[in-house]
Amino acid sequence: MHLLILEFINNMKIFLQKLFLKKSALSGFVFLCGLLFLSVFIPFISPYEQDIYGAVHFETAGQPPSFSHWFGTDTAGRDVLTITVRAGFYSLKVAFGVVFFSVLIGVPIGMFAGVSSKRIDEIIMRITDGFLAFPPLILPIAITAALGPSLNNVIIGISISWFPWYVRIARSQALIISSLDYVSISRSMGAGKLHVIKTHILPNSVSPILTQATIDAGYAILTAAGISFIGLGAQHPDVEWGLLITQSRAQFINHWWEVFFPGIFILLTAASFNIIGDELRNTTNEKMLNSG
Amino acid sequence: MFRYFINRLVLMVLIMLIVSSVTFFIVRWLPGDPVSLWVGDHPTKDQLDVARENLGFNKPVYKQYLSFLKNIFTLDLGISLRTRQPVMLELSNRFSSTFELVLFSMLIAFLIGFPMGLISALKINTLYDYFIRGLGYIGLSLPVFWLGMILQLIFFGVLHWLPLQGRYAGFSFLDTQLTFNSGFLLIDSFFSGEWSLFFDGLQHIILPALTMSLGVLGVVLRTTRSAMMDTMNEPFFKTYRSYGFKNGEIIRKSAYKNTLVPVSTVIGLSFGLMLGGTFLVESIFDWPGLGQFSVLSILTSDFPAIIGVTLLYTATYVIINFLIDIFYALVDPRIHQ
Repeated sequence: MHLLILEFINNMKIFLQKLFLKKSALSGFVFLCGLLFLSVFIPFISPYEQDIYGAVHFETAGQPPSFSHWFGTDTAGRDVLTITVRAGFYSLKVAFGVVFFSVLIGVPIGMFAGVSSKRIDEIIMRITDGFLAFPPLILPIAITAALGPSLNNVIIGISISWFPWYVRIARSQALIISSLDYVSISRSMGAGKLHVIKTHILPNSVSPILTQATIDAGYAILTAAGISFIGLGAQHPDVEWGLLITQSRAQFINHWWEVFFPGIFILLTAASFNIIGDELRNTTNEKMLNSG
Repeated sequence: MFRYFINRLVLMVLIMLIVSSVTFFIVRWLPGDPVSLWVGDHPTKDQLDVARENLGFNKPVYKQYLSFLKNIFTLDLGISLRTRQPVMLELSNRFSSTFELVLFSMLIAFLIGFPMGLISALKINTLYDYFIRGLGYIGLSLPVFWLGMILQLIFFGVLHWLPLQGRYAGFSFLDTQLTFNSGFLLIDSFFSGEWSLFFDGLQHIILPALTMSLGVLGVVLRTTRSAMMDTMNEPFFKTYRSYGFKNGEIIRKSAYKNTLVPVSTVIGLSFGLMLGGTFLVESIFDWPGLGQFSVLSILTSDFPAIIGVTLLYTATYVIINFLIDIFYALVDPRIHQ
């Protein structure tokens, strides 16, 4: 078991080295790490740390970007730079939360479907199709509305709507791998379903799931921002990019900075996840081409 | 072929049934009370009870569900509690306006994305190619509501070129007579010869359509680019090359046709997604379409309206998928075996 872990770590290391040879993937990764770091430590760095908790300073309200407020201030006088960076923490939380729960629900179901009898597989997949038939956004919005508006409920809502994609990926991976010769041999020697999943299917499914998860992390941030924008996501005094933008809707024609900067952060974060996911896919494809 | 067709049709009805049932129960879980929406502000307890009785919300949930199923099969979606209009009427009015918006943005995405994708494949790994690919990433990662507001800021706030929101200015309907009535404002006004209304509608549709088109633009760009690169590796392309034709010439004269199949598939699929993804854009631009209607219905717990909207969305989505599958089955006979 220890050897397996060591081998896995070593493989990961080679893989990451290859991945980060691509400058675009590296810059995306650096941006995300920087955002995570800054958003955690911004209360200790920024001189306006009380703005994160919903402080109001009418004397500095609605100022354009200046030397003391690089991104300007909003209608409540909060420093836009401080709250925008802090909002990154909640958006990253949404990204990881959604991906974590979707994988946690979707992957076991999919693998189970893949190694089960045809009838059970059919039933599971038809139920999954039912989830996917909902138009995007309407299911997460409806679930969030039903649970009550909050960022945690947004995570639940998006995860419930998206886990079927992981069912599909895990199932197709399970089908491919359990049809390989060495798996049939190990089954003929008495290996159970659980053993096949654990030792053969799971290790071979990591990279397609990881790729999908990375791309989905970006879309999760976009979707969560959209739901907050409608008013069903994060609530004041919490700061979240979609919420910050919707709070400035009344005066954004004159105060461009209140809307512009949070949006740029959403764009950069989602693009970073997207680019890393794409390069991840390219790198795994190359690996498969080289080994096969 | 016929059996495949029937199978798909049954599956389609089944999915619709599942989706409507799931929505029925999710909606019952929403926090707001639909009855108070119906009777208005400050009702007495008697008024609430009478309304609850009339609307049938006092019955047990399974009875409500059975009568709901019965009504669905007769296409009776009930009355919207918020607008007090039949849901069917609301949906048909709003569907054409959303459809017009989506169609227009699809047109923009195709007209810009297709040629750009071709050129990008031609000039692979040049600065232009990097720029185009970057644009693709941006298109996929942009929050649409933010893009919409930024466009409003530029074209309305700074330049004063285009209107802020809405589908037309109220006064442009004065003294107009539409002899044509399809529900599509641009088509109707065009064929009725009402030019001021037509140009007014055009001005209003540009910003929301542009906002929506950018996401699809990225997809169209990528698909065109990769399809064209595949085509350039095919023997016929190399034959042309050996005859001395230039890459650009071959693409312009014939090879672009090979990319039309994957591109049109992507466009068909995105069409369904876009129809269901107009919530945010319609909210920002105050566009009187389905998306805006859905958001308002969900926020006010308007049960019949939410179910109606979901059913309509799912129906379009399922029908588009059905048509694509049938199209594939016709083209490629291996699929249904």
